[in-house]
Amino acid sequence: MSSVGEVAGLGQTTRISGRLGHRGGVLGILFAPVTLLLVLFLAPMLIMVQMSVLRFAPSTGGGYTFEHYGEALTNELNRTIAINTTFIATVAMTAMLLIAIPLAYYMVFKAGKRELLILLALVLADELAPVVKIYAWQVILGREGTG
Amino acid sequence: MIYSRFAVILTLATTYLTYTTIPIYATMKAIDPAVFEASKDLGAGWWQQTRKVLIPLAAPGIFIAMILVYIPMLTDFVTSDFVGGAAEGVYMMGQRVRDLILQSGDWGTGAALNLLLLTMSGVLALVSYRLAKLNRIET
Repeated sequence: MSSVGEVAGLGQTTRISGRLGHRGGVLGILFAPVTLLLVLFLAPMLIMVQMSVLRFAPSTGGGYTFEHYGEALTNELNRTIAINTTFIATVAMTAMLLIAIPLAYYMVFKAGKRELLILLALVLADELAPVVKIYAWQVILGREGTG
Repeated sequence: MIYSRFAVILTLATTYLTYTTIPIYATMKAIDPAVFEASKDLGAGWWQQTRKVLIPLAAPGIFIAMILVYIPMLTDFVTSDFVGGAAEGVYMMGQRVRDLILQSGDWGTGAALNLLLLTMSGVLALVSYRLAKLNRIET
């Protein structure tokens, strides 16, 4: 009898203390990441937004302008580069899907014991620094070996 | 082979392969193997099984993989620098922004182009997210 009351009481106290301590605790825990986010992500982003509409030194006087956007959009070179980038990304994406879908299917339904091994190999291959991977490809594709 | 479009595509594809495989793997893990047996009983060949059962059920994972990979690929500048070199048609958006800011010193246009890319990525992500969600409701 008393034990039931105790348990109920315990539940109530934890609930109440949880409700009271909720705000302070969560704010305390989130303070560091939120500060980090504001200082290291949001501030540079806002500086970049300001920079994109600021009139720069060669043109006389300060003030704000949208001419940078106009230049970025109308420049012929930018259009060519955009088409190139989209083409390269789309072809690479298609190639990746053509490899990834059968690979995932094999891992889930057919691999059995080897599933973990393949998963580990995939993750380990990704752990390598991107630049190192690109250097490796440079060596593989190049004609001069490591030179 | 090096310093060509092919080299850039090959390197990009292998670099991001993990990010494509893991989400698709995760969604496929949730598929009940019995649906394949059922479709086989109903007379579906492997192509029909893939097209009508596997791909629709794995579609949310495929869309997530596309967001995860497409956006970093649009801004990648190291790959095309190292294996693309100065070849025709390998100059990518990330390189353009970097060259505008660090070489030409044109901070305004670089920042504008960067924000346009960010907006485009956001739209792409929203569309992809929407597609993935819609599909989950349908199936």
